[in-house]
Parts: sequence; C-alpha cells; structure tokens
Amino acid sequence: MKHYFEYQDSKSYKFWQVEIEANTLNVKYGKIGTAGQEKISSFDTPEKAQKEMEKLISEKTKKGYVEKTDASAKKVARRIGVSYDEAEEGKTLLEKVTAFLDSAQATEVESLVIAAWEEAYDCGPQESLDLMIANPGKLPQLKELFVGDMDSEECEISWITQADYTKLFAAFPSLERLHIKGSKDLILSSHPLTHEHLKALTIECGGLPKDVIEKIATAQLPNLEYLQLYIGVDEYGFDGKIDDLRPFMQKGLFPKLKHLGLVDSEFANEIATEIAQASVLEQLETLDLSMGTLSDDGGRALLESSKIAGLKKLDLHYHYLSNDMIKEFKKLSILVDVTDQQDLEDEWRYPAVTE
Amino acid sequence: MQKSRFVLIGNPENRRVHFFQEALQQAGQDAALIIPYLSILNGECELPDVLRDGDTLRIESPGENFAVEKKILSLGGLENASGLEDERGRIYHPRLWFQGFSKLMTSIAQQAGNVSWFNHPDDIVSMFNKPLCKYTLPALTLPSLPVISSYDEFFAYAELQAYSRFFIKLNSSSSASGIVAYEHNKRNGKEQAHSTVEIVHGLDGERYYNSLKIKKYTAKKEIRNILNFLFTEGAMVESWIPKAKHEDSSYDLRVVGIAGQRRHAIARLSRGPMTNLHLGNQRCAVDELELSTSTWQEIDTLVEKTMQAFPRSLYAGLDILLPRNGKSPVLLEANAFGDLLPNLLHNAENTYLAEINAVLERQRLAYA
Repeated sequence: MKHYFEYQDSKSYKFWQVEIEANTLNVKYGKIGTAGQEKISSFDTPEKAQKEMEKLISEKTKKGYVEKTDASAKKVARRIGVSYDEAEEGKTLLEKVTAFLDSAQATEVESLVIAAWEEAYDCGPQESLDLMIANPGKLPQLKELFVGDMDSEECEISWITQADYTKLFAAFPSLERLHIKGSKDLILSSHPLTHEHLKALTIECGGLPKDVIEKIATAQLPNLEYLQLYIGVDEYGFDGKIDDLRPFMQKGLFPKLKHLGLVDSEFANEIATEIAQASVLEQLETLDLSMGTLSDDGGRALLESSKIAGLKKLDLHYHYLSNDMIKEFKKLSILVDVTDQQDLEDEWRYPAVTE
Repeated sequence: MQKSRFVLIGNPENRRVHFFQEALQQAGQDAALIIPYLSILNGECELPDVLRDGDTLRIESPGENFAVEKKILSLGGLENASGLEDERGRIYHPRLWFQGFSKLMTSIAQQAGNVSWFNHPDDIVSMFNKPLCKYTLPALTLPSLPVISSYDEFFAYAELQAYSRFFIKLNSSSSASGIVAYEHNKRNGKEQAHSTVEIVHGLDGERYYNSLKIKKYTAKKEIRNILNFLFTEGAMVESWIPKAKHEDSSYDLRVVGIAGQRRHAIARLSRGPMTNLHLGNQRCAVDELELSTSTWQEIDTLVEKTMQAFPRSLYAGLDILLPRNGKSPVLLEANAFGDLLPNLLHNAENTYLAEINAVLERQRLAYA
C-alpha cells in the first residue's frame, strides 16, 4: 500500500511517499522532479509499522501536505547506492544493481539514481553500468539516469572515478535525461555521440576534460533541450580554454536547446563576455552562469547585451558581483537569480571562542 | 526571605552579557551584577568580597577579549604572555589556554562559596575537554580512535584503514577553531584537508589563524605542518561520518538542552565539511527537515543522557550529527557556552530567558 503526498509553498515544492510492506516502511521524500531520498525502517510487527505510518501521515497532513492520487505525477524512481558502512562490510554496487535488475520493480523504473559506490575515489561504476547495458530489456521504462549522486560528505567530487558510457546510448535509445557526476576516467563515447531522444545532459564535476567537451560539441542530439556543464578548474581535470566552449554559443548546434549552463568556471567573466553577444541566446530560455567567479566585468557585458532580454531566466547565483550591479540586474524585466553573493571583504579571521 | 541575586562573570563589553541582562529584564528581575573576568584575573576583585550566599552565578564565555586571553595564557604557564600581539584570529597555544582556563574555573569554584550555579565551573571544564566527553559518554559519541601525537603516526594509521576520512580536532576548543577534515585517496596517494586553520609562513616560523573561509590544502607539507601543530597542542581523531542531507546541503544540529530537556534547536546547513554558523553557513529551522517522530525521540534521549552526565549544569549547546545512513544520532560535542543563538525562540523564550526561567522555577521548587 502506497501513499503519495505533495507540498508546495513559495520556497519549496516537494513530495513525500510512504509504502508499507508487512513490517517494513519505505519512505521517499525530496524535491519534485528528483528521485529524492529513501529511508527504510523495519518494525517488530506489521501492526507497529502500520501505526507508525499512520502517525507519519498525520504529521505530514498537519504540515500542509496533500495526498495525491494522480499516478501521472509519480515517476517510478529508484536510488541505489552503497553507504560507507555498507562498503566497510564488503557490500558492492554490483551486488545491489544485480539484485535490482532481477527485481520486479526494475521493469517499471523510469528514473534510476546510482548514488555512492564503494571506494569511489578508487574505482568507477563500470561493471554495474555494463550490466545494465547488457540487459536493457530489464529496464524497459528507463528515461532518466543519474550516476554518481554523492556529495563532499561521501567523496571529494574531483576524486569520483567515472566510467565509459559509449555503449549506454545505443542500449537505451529511449533515455531522455542523463546526469553524470565526476569526470575522472570519464569517457562519454569513444565514437561520435548520437542519440535521438536525449533531452537533458548534465556533467557535474570539479574539472571538465577537453575531450568530453569536444565529444558533446560534436554530438548529434536533435532533441536536446537542457545542457548543463560544470567547467571547473584545471587542478581537477579541466584542460580546455574558452575556445573549446565556443561551439555551444552558436545557435542551432542543438536545435531544441532551451537551457544552457556553463557553470562553476574560473573564467566566468570571459564566458559571460563572449556569450553576451552570441547567437545561441536567440534560442535559449535560460542561461546559467552560476557558481563561478563572475564579477562586475562579466556582469557589465551581460547587462549591455541586447540579446539578454529574450531570455526568461538568467541564473548567476554564487557570484562576486558588487551590490550596485546586483541592483542593476534586479531592474531587468527577466528573472535573474543573483543570490548567494560571495564575500568581497578581506576580514576573514575570527577569534576562537565566539560561538 | 531575600530574593536571590543574579551575578555574571564575563566580558562586560560582550553581546552575551547584554543578551543576559535583557532577558533578566524580560523576566522581571533586577539586572545582574557583572564581574569582569579581567578584574578577577588582575586580582582586583576577590569573589568572597562581592558574592553573597544564595547568589545565582552565571559564567559566560571569556572569549573575544585579548586582554583576558593573555591573562588566561599566563595563568596556564605561558611566559611573557603580556607581550603577545593582538592579531585577530591568531591561534595562540591552545593547550596552555585550556590549562589556564581550567585553573581559573577551579579557583572560581573554590572562592564562590555558597552560591547556586547556572553551569558549575567543573562541568564547564569537562565539556571543553572533548576526549573526556567522549570517555564520559561512550555510547552517545563516535567511537574512540587511537591517541595520536604526530602527523607521521596519523598517516601510518590512516593508510591502514579501509575508510580513510577523518576529522582532527583540538582537544579543547570551540567555534570550529583548530579543525581539519582530512581525506586520503589510496589509489593515487593524494591527500586533502579542509580546515579553518590558516597557516602563514613568517620569518619567525609558522603562525596559525582561525579562518572564516575554509582553506583547502592538498600539499603534504602543509597538511603535515597543520596536523603536527594540532597534535602537539593536543588533538583527537574521529571518523568522518557522512551527515544527513537537506536539499543540496548536509547538516548537523545545534540543540540547547536546558534543565535536562531539549529546547532550542537549529540545523546548520553546509556544502562543505564544517557546519558552524559563523563560517557563513545557513541556518535552517528544524521543522524544514521533516524528521520523524522516532528520530526526535532519539534526539531527546541523547539530550537527556548528555545533560545527566553534567548534573551541575543547567544548560549546554549540543552539536548532534544525524548519520546519513539513518542510524542513531551522535553527540559531536557539548558546549558550555553553546547557547548563543540570538532570535531563536522556543515556547516564546530565547535561550537566555529560558535559562533564567528555569532557574526561577528551580528556586520555586526549592522553597516550596
């Protein structure tokens, strides 16, 4: 028995779901549109599990959650990962993926998230990925795949070892969304990349290797609407230049592209200056230059661009813009995210007994 | 019967003192008598002369006052402490500071006579002593790891562990001063350390500062230098357990226990390994986290057990980690001055007012 709830206010839009199976409760929660997080708790008896579920549901209802019966709102999502203590006990991602592929749920899953795996700083998820690639029939509904959903609490992002995805694209022709975290040992495709249905591609990493950038810039992705690239720093694997990003600034490279993110860059000002005059803006709804070192130089170039007005949203959060420039951005008629201003001051030392 | 008088030992210019006086006024009490740390340390004030039997005595943080810091260091055995330069954020001799602070607390306890306490000086010293806390509350804290005295010893240990991520913390400090989040990549031998410690190489050797910007070190030489500094001053090693996540950040909790119960609580969100709020991290109302009733029950139990371990203390600010894998909450540390959470209300009281009302309630019960 499954209950699915949603909650919406000005700040958040999230879901909460509880499923009971005998004496086990499986709770999933998170932002709508993500696979969310999962918590499984076991109770001594099915009655106790039932009671806890009722209590949880009443808590959620009090908080303003509304139960939804509309199944279309629900994606069948699954998250698989190996926590640090499971890794210490010798559990592996491959075991977990193997068991998952043999489960009945696999045939329904639309969204699959591979979270942490054992010793991610040392080995990639290749075997697990290959197992999926060899058995596409076991994942007939798969539309969304995220590999490497771990944060700095689990593995330093620049140390996450990735895999070779060449065969994934042919094995899953219906895949629509792919998110890869980590760029060490990442091979997106060893031959020209083509995929008919891919709508969204995100590479999140500490430094994006030049060959991955080139592979995307020369890819045939006729349905790509969303492209998010973390440029990063050379210390963590970025070995390109602004020239390597120029193809993405051309209108029509991906005819359906609506969102372009060139984020987390040390030369955000250069990117901003070039893209401010670029033809790709004519087709975009969202331009995302967030999380980098954007300061007033790049900000000025964007403000002076005649093409910015055609956007719906400009995301610049986490930046080094001055207060004056933030004000100018807020005057624009489009939605601009200029939150998370970084500290421009040099007073950063503090006395110890302050808290 | 004479009404009990409130007395506070603190640094009069500090905001903590103002918050306390404000809260007394709200509670309809007379302003507290303030005894500056400096006048005690200078010998200008003899506690037996100013304290009366039945006074209720509150000991505040001695922090953020360099003259007081120098006196405490001198009491701890540092020669020429008076000649130290006031450099904002410089970490001077944490081991000697703690020795001096312990002596000061002991002498206050001895001289105070027949007073009642907010927090007893002995408890304050115990809470500051992180290894002791761990020893006192083994079931609630992270498992103890070997006592280590140098970087080389630490590295030899770390290399042998399957899980090579650790926190190294000064044995007695607060405010994330002297903390390193360390990781070792066995595949390529790389190391990395995030730390609030900023190292400055001067002609006269290294100087260490508390930095609000978390520094990232990847050079072995620097990491060795900082860890050797911390181990020499006395530091302990703990496993780095992944913290629970809220949206895109990980978090831990600062929970204030007052009169044995959980009261004010706030989540401290961070995208890096350290969550302390003054490091520019976001606070987040605990309701947002949507913790289950059973998790709250576990947190309550943890707070109650911790407060029982300090029976002579009215309050403490507890740092609580919720492991990402859903296991039981863990006590990271107990802070005797951990109640500075301005504007955070619980049952319409801020922390100071809640503590004062708890004292008044204690007095009512005692005279009933």
